[in-house]
Amino acid sequence: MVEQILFEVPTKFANGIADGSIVRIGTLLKDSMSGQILSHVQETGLAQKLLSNASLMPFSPLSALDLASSGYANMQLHQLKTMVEGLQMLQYANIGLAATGLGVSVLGFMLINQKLKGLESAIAQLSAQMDKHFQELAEKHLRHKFANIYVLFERAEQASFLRSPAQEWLTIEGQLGMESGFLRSEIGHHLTQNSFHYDWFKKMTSALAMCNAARIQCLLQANEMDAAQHASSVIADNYSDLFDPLSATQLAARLTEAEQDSREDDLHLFKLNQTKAAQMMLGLREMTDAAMTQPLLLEHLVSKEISGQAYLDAIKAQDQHAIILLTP
Amino acid sequence: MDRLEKIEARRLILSWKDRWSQTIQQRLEVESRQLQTELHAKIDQISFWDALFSGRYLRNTIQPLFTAWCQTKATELRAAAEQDLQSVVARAIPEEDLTPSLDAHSSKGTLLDVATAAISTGVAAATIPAVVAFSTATVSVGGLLGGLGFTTTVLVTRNLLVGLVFLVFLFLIALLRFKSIKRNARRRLKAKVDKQIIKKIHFSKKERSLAMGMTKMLETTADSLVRELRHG
Repeated sequence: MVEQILFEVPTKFANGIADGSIVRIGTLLKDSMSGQILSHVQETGLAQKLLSNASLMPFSPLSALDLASSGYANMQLHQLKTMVEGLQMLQYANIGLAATGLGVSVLGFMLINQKLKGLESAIAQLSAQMDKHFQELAEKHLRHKFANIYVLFERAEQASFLRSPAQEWLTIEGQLGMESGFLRSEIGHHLTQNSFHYDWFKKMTSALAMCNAARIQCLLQANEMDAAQHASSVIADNYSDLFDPLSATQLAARLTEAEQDSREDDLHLFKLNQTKAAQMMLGLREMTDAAMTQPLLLEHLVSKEISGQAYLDAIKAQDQHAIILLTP
Repeated sequence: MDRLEKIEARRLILSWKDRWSQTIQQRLEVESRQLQTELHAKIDQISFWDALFSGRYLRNTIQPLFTAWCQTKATELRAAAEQDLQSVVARAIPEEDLTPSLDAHSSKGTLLDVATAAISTGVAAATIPAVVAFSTATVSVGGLLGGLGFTTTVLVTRNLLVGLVFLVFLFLIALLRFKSIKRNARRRLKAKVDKQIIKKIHFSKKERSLAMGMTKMLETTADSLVRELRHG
């Protein structure tokens, strides 16, 4: 039941995080001495609403937001930024996280579709500038694959109007799993190449994160908590396989190798690329950590017998705080 | 180990990799300045004959110094990274996991073995680029007679054909240019050394530098450990 879910505001632990007695790992807060899990970080519908309206998003760190103007929305954004900084999640808006949510995603399927459409056209343009493999991909497969994904999100949006939607959620989740497998294999293929295309990688990774977040959302809607927990573990392992072997140095070297006609000397260029690559690595590490701790959040929901539907309803209904804490 | 402990251990290992790939670069950048100073000082003492045959000088005198420095530095940095990794693993794995059991793959002992094995085999590969560094480096002797438009080969053959008078004439001119030969050779050798330090120690698009080789070693080690954690 919704009433049983106890949420708290992140400021409760701000001092502990600041003095190091509480540490954040992915989306959970832990007592650094006892090792006890204190809380799970969860964004609400308000966070996504705010970020969707912010023009700078979705590919910059939240710290880059210009909050100079006034207005209620801006005040809330400022509050979000303060919370994110308090939780030391400065990469919140970088790769994936803002697109897919902290904890469980509450992003509406139609909103994901809108974001994906923006990504698809950018990815197609970038693919055409890349090697032969990606040119073919852009022409033949990418459009087809993204069209499938759009249809699945439209069906997901429609599923909530069905009288018995559970089976439809499960079907959509299965098909999204296939599409995310395609995106994952393309990203994996790109990482086996000598060169590295920064923007393409970032956008494909965001698209992958959106698909996976929606899969978990579908399973929660269908109240298949064990399946959601299992799927989230597999997703976390996949991210770990893809991104853990990377390092900022390696990415910077690949970025430098990809630059053909540069007038800068190699070392200077490499150093410039290192800053960019370090930022990206922070985002990827955050994204993987968040995915790795998601099964623990779901495990907690199962142990408290909180249904997926009830949890989603509760976090969607939150309109006071962009980020809340689920305390055991 | 439970799931959370594995997540934390993984984070510590990845932080170790990220931290040391940065540290290695920074230390090589700072400490290679000392190598550069030493090599420049050595070049300042170059004799006339070494200046004349500077390619051989580079191979026989400079390259061994360069290679020895790279090997020493790689060993030193590897040892420091390994020591840090051992303390990371010791922190990451709870004590109770030291108790031998049938499923003790992710025990502290096993992880330490994996870490040491991976990092030790990695260091040999990391120094290879530096070892071969100067073998292809040659310095043109064009400075000697370049102003006259002759190459060394031309000097030999033409002298035989044209005769002793012309040879003496060239020799006198060469004598006049002794000082500039040494000066030019020093300048060219120093420039070559500086370039090689950047390419072979720091970064080059075309070949793997010492820093990149050592980063690869860190990555391989961290990968083995993360895999061991996952499947252990």
